[in-house]
Amino acid sequence: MRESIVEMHCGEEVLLVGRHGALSHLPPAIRDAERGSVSLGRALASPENMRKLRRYWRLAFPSVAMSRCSDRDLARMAEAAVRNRRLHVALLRRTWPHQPPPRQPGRKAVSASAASSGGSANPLVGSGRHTLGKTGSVMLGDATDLTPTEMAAMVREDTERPGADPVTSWSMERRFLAVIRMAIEEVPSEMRNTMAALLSPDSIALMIGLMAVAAAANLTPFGWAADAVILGIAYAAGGMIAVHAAGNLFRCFVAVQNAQTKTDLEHAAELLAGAIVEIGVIGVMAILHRFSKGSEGDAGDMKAVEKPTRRSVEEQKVRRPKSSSSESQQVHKPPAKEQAPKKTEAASAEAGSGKFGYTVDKPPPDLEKNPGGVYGYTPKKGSQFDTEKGWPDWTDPEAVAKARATRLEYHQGLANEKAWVEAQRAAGKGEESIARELVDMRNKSRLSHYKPEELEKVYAKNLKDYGNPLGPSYESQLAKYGTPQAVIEAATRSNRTMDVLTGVAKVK
Amino acid sequence: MNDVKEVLVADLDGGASVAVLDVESGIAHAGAVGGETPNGNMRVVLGNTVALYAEGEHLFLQIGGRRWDLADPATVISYGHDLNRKTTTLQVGDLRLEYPAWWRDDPAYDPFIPELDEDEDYLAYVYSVAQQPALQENLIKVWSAAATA
Repeated sequence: MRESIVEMHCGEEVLLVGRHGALSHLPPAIRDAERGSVSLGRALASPENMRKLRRYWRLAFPSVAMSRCSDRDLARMAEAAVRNRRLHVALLRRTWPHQPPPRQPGRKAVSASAASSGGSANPLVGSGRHTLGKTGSVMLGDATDLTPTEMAAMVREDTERPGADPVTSWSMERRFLAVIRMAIEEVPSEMRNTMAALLSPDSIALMIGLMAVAAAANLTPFGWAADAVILGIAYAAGGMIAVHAAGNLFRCFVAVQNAQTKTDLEHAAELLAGAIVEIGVIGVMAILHRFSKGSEGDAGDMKAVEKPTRRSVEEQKVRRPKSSSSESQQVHKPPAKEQAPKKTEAASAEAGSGKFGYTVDKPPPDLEKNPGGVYGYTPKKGSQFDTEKGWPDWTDPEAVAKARATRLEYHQGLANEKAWVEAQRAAGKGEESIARELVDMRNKSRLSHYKPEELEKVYAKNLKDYGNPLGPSYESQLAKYGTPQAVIEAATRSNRTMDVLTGVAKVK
Repeated sequence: MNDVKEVLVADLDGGASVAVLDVESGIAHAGAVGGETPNGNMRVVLGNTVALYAEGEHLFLQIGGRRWDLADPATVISYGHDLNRKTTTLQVGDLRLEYPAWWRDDPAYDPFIPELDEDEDYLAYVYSVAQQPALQENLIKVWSAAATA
């Protein structure tokens, strides 16, 4: 995520620049694409923004020799890329006006009706129609007109005035509003501009929806990352820093859920501010949306996050096998003859079960029934995954467990992609648009597996193979599969033979 | 059998421009007018033009000057990597092509995700299509709708 979007600060405005589709996960309410394009030139007058763009350009367009590009050249190229729609620009709307509304004497907190001061450019600042909460919570339209200090004062008023209702009786919406307002005071001033995004009803609904996920996650002081599912999604959203930020975010959710006092809410606000300082509001929004997409999966991917069992922890510890010949040899072990049958029997019984398990009517043609196979089947001689070609011994439980761990991880990714596709369809997005974005997402996911120093080579190969440094283009996929729907199907398909061999799929 | 002499195919080498494939010789050349809908696609592998295209209600795989009807039960295709030798083999009937695996210098390659083959190796895509009758039907429908050259 950090590689795909550049965040530029220009006065009190925040400009986002990214490739086609990179900004699509941001809620429309916080985008202002039209003004964003106009503001790019102004933003690039800042040396810091120019440095950010230069770094971004190296990654996004590696074929361009940056050392020969002056700042002026780069600015021209960026503007041309915007015109050609290779780059998209969005401008985050300000949270409060340049000139805060004059303080009213004696005003401590603003009631719903008292502060419809108008003049805000923020579309989230409205007529009070975003009323949240059932226990006297204030309206967003008023809150976002206030300075951070005023917002914090509002929270104090809410919790400290005589007769104030206890935090335990507050709705979750009200708690989150209070936490976000307190967090605004904790973050650097230049980051406060974008905090309105978190105050939107949609964002708060997202956070509430993710509270159950946070509660189920394995949030121990050092074991947070033990939850491979959450780790994977957070890492995909922005690397290790996003993992730390997601940790803070989820701890914040747990703290909100369990809050009994104002101090508890302050603690939650500190955690939220910590996440924002680490990856910015945009990063937090991206993580919320990613996890939300995950939670919409058919198997309830995130909602049903299980505490890792010993087996799953062991599987997570298994390093992904590499392609080298020596490592291929490592997985090619002689079968453990005495133990294998017992393990095989148990493994066979659980084939096709679990979160991603499915059943196939008949065995794939390249497999044959074999009671010695860990999951009851082994490849036919000479077929695709034949052990003689360096593939694992499919009768060796340890070797197959390694393969299975990779497959489960892969299926988690597929489930996320399928859930995302369904969400896009439900939102009325067209098949072509979904397919284009899916191709782009898969390319990004693929590239995330390489070290930075390896990327140049990958970009060059992709450019040669596909005419696109990031990987297959939508056009080439369409030429291969015929229709946008078929492109989507191809991107979300799994290999049945490999799934039967690793027990993800069971033969009827 | 070769009533149709030429077909339009999307040339996937470096993009998806359209080329004209001479079915008898197996030689493809540029020259198609932009905007025309292709009947299939192609890549050059080991110096041979490899193409997949629809002709009437049939889907054909062409390698050089030879071609196979994917619906013909006699057309047996296999594909696989040798992890030790870092090579890939595609066999169609008696024709066997062995070539360096696409992943031989790829540090992120994971053999347990064979789905990536389809993106990275055109012959894996060909094999995958040959394994999926539903996809074949879809491709015949889309590609046959396009006019032949």
